[in-house]
Amino acid sequence: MSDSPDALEITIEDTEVGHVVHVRGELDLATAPQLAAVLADATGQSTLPVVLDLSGVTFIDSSALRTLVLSGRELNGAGRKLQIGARSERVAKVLEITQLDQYTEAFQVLPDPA
Amino acid sequence: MSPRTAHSTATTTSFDLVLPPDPELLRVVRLVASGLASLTALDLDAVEEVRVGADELVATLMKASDGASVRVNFAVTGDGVTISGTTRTSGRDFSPDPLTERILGEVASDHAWSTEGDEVSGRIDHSVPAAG
Repeated sequence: MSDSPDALEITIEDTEVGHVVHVRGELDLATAPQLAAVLADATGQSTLPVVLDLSGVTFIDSSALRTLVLSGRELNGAGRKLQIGARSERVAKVLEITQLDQYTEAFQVLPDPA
Repeated sequence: MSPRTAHSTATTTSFDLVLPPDPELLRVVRLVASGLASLTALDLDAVEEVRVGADELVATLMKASDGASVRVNFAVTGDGVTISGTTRTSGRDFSPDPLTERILGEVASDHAWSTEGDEVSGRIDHSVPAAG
């Protein structure tokens, strides 16, 4: 099932402003650990922020949000910041419902460039 | 999956899905939930909310399971869609994730959790808004 078209796809791009992690597909209890592993690998690689591009995420649930919170705390502990940049309407809606778009110590929600 | 009728007096369609607690199968749950909701008078946004609610319900039960199957009942009623599920736990205290509670509080018309012995159950309702 993990090889199906909607499976999670993660690509990483190193830019001058940070380590950009592009995520496409569905983020849920099954796929969130893949993102957690990528974010864990980013810890300690530099001091630049890790910026998540969630514009290609078609589904996100509380399991994935919890992963973002825990990964953000780990990055904070390593002296780095986790930022949420571009995001799909679905992601924006769930961040709003959970109020994680307003304040969390774990990550920063950037103004959506879209 | 075995369709049947008259699950309750107000139920027009009801069937069960029995799943191992494998998170990969949440996609199947979401597909079934949105497919069933699309057969009702719920609009597209509400169908998406059913999909989200079903995922939260079943993911919570999968996490609580001691390895036992999760039984999920999907029902279309005159009022909308009700999805309920149950599984066996290992006796740990059950407490749904606060983020799950926030999401279900927003997307479902009503939801509830209960425990009895070593079983934990949950239910979400999605009602069709009254016309007019």
